[in-house]
Amino acid sequence: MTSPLTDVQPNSIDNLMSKDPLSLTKENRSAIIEVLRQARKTWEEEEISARSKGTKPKISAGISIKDLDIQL
Amino acid sequence: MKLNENSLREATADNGSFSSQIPGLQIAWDSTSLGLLKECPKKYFYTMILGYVRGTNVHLDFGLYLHSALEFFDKAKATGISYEDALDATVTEVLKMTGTNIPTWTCGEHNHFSDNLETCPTCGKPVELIEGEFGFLPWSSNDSYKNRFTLLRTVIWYLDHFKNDVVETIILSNGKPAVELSFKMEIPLPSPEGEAYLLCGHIDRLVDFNGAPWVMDRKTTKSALDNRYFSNYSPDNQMSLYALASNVILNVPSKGVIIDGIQVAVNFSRFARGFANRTQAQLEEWLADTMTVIRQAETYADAQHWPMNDKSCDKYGGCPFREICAKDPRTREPFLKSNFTRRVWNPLEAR
Repeated sequence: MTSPLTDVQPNSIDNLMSKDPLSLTKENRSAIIEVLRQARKTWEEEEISARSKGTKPKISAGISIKDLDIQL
Repeated sequence: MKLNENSLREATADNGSFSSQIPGLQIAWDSTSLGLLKECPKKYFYTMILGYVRGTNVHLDFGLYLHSALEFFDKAKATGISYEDALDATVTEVLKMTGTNIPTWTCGEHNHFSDNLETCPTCGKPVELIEGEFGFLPWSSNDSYKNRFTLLRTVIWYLDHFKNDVVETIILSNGKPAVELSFKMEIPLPSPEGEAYLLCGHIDRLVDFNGAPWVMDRKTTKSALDNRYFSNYSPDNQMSLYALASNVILNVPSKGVIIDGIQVAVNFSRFARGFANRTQAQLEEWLADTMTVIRQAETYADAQHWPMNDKSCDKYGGCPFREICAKDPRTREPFLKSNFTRRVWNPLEAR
């Protein structure tokens, strides 16, 4: 069985997550945390915006793994 | 499907929570096994005595991973390291626990990771093991809600959300933080052979909130975290047991359980906190009811028969054994063996 996610860009977050965790550097982990924090911020802003307009927040609000393509 | 005395002994031989004197009588109980018996004695029989479960359970796996990750963080933070350092260590822990190291094989041109391989999946040539070289295979749940990515996202978002939490972990009299507490309590009810019944469980955390002690528990769900969701926890078997246990551990009555609800969706995780209050009178009532339920378990074991509660079949998400119970009793065993896997649930084993 081949390792999954081998066809993604080398430094993208999904590629980082597929690596042996012990091979990740502190910078790698900080990048993962930062991207997920940004995702949370974006989702919260979308929720607030949707509520202030009186509309139901987008069910699909937030960032999927495909969007998390940070380059280090 | 009936078992005789010897078959009952054999069925529970590898489960230390059962009586060595009375076949089929459970001595050490937790909220899971009590809940099963209350739902349906037949379901209890299939699950606890015969040890059958329905394959892998992504909800159970995800929940266990999440609890392990948050326990890891709680313990790391309690050592005095900074929030960011504890979070960093927790990220490593999450990624490590949700994957396995597997051997690497090569045909000379292509390398592949596998527990066992004879020919190259790419070109079909014979392969050899590369000694000492391992690949990492991440956990794959095939579930869009509960998977490795949403687990890591949930852990980081949850910890950030409660970073400046008003609750504080209680430090026990032995100086250790009250986290990851596995407990066993003897209750004032001897078995017919004089064995002591035990109530067991595993508490995530004991905390101080507004000057009073509370149990804290985390629950994952796909549901919205509204009043209706939190009302499900009063009354509730597990919350009452935890509140009772915390009284014994702390020697001080706790107020009940603080529940951190964690909604896990495809593209977000949301959190809300609810309370399952318990007065001393409620806990005494629950304990009396539990002893009555255990007496019923004695009756079933004595009769070597666990009856069906056919009013529960469509509840709790639908019973996984419904299709088994719908068959003639003489034909159930082969379907159980082919459609379910064996797993011993022993309340005495600490998580």
